[in-house]
Amino acid sequence: MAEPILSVSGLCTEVVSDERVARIVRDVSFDLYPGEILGVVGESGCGKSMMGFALLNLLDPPARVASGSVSYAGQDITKLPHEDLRGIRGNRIAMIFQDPMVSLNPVLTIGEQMMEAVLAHQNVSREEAKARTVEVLEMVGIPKPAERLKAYPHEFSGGMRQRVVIATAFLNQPDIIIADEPTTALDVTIQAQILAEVQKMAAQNGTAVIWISHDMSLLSGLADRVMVMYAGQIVESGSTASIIEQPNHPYTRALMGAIPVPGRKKLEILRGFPPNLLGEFTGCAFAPRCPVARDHCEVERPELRGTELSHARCHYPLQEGARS
Amino acid sequence: MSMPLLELCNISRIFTRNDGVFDKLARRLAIGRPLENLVAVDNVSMVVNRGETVGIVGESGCGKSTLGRVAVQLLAPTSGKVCFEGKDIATLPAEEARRARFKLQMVFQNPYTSLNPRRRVGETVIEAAVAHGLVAKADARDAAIEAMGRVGLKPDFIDRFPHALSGGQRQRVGIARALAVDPACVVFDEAVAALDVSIQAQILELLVELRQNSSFASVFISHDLNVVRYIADRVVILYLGRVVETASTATLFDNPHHPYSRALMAEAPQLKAQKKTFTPIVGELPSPLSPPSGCQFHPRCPHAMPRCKTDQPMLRQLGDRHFSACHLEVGQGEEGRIEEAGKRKVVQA
Repeated sequence: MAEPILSVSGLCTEVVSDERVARIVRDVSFDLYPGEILGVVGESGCGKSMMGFALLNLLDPPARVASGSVSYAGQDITKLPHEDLRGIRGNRIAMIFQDPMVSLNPVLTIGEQMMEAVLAHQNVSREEAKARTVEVLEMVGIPKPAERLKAYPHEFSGGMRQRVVIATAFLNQPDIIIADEPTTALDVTIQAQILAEVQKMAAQNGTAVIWISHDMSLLSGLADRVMVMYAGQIVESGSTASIIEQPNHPYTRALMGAIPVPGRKKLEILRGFPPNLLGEFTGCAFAPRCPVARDHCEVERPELRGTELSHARCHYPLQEGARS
Repeated sequence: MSMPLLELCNISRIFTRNDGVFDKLARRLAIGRPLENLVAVDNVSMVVNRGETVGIVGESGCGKSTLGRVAVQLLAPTSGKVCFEGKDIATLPAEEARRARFKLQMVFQNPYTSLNPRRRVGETVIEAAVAHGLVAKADARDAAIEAMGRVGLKPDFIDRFPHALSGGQRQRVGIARALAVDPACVVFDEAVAALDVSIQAQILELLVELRQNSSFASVFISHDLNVVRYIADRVVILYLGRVVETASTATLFDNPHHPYSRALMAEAPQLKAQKKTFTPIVGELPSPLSPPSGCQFHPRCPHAMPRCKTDQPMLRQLGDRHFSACHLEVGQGEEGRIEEAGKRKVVQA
């Protein structure tokens, strides 16, 4: 396999308040390869969004990266000064946020703010920047993009706004796109359109994509590889096909069992809530909710076991072959 | 067949822009913009039988929520009538109409905004039942605990405020509130859309269980085909305010006729160990302020014929309770589906 474009090692983030420390992302390591679509899945509050923010060093106090590194092109993003980060953010690594109303400036036209993103990073004329802007708006299915450049965000519907945000991420042909549930609020028809564009970018330009979602069925059609997060940790990771057909971690199986798929008569119900992240876990973080937990799980913390590309954090993995 | 529980006959609902005084004056002087009408629901008829769950599916802006609100009498239709147990609610005497309305309940999409933040859970749940005299004031607390128990909320939640509850728990409060008055029909408007998949599964299983134990009928409005397929007995697909296809859930998903139904199904995410090439419907959802002529789906339809631009297709019966509004003959245009299947490729692991 080629060299990874992004290499994350031992990433931990924390939120400090009143002398209490919540450890939100706990020791996350993975490699991302060019042209790969990596899905990150988990329930609300499992730390997947914060991990996405940490990859671009976007955390603001009281949240911060506590330890670990994110290497991109030989540099550690978590230690880069702000001036150097500006050259990377929105240019080589683009982020798509969940809420389009927060990511767009309401007092600038769509054209102004999108062209600014091109002019800030590329040495091109305004005409060229405009042409590029029109081109990406067309890619995400905005009708008559040249005329819509003068529109303000409030003149667009929610779905159109989100498509503008996604188009902005495409502008500078980044090496990596980090997408944090960008299609959750969109209709399936528009979602399909955006997923089609993302797949095309990955296949044609070798853009690597990290797609954060709570919906395994969406990732199953999109991602090459999936990481499952629970309580800030990666509990399982592997190729999408192997995760769906042979999940190793009981949490992965429960997440998929909850999806209404054709022919399923009963949905699997995961009782209880994700654990409090203020403390340390004595055993497996999932043990209190796990349908197959044994006494041992409450006491000893499981380590990730398996190969670099396919592993699970479980004492009693569901597949025979993974047991040691 | 026995009398349907709830019958919507030729319902249309038109919204008109609320103009300011200057616009009104300008129009009087014949210099202003003409009034724009938005037809949210256009001549829709549907039936809900006792104990049945009907799913309503469509994209944003297709009128599904408006239809749901008309059904529970939160909105008056511009034309058409809503019949409850065979009687047109609009013509009933006030007292009877009130009783009918209160047999129709609604559960809203957003569990964060549909609960009063300053009211304790118990009061929210039981207020309507007390106000309508179903429960004596003295018994309200016990009745609230019982209603909460039915949806799996522990009695100690009774004095909490909504902010202390998780999203799934709030949605349970919304359901308990609707069920506390012993409704005949409940409209769920995107009731699980805002929830995580694991919480969504809990709520869906709760609804299945509640339906087995009590006999209320339900209308389940959702944009998620997988959810509707799981919960509904019969499905109505809307496009720009009109019914494009309706059938029993099994018939519709195994044998969809309308190209729009087929396109929606092709785009719904599925849990498959196969990577999928997403093939979006071409074009944009047209503005409901200026809908296309003829069949409203024709600008985006892969099988559009010249007559589709001019003739509006009427709902046509294709089988037992299977209706579709499309000029295509049965079996015509099926090639599209085979193409779609060929586009799926296996992931190289």
